[in-house]
Amino acid sequence: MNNVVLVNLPFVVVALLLAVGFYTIGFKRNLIKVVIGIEILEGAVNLFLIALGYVKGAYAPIYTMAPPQAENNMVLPTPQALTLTSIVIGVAVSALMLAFAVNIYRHYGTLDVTKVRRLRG
Amino acid sequence: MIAPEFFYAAVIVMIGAFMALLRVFFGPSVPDRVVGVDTLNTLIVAGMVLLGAAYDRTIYIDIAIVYALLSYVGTLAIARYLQGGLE
Repeated sequence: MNNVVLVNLPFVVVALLLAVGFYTIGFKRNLIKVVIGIEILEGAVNLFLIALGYVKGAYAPIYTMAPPQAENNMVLPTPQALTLTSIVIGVAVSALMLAFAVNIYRHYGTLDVTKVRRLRG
Repeated sequence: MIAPEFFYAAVIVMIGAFMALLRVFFGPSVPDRVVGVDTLNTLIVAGMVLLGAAYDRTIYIDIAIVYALLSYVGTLAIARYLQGGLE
């Protein structure tokens, strides 16, 4: 039982991060904190992808100056490429969300989501 | 794992990083937390170098160099914000 938890520890951390991120998105009223919650969700997804490609005792998938025992003993590179794409998309999305937050603050004078609910011209 | 002594040194550095993390959690004021994060960055750079030596991969040292540069920029941004220098 303990061994199962230790082997799957990255996935347990992913579940905790997902819980924290969804709680932050659902129950926080400050828009900046909602953006931080979405960032936590992105971190959870990235950790999940990286943990999917892990092989026990394997080496980083780089052939430059790799030791000879790393031959045919490397972690999966495809989830790492997916994670790189996901990180770039996450940075773009967070920049857009923060720009929207700045505009909302200039327009409404507050960042409270319950006060900016009504659209005003 | 080529060299276990580097791995043990990295574990000791990570214990120090955990203590810096306690300062970040329980720091009563914001500058305390910033100093805690700065200490944590330096210790993580040391841990990265030691782990690169422990796993005998030279390419991991490059990541430590880049992280040292970026953590300096991050600490500088927070310090400038706390000083009231933005806008």
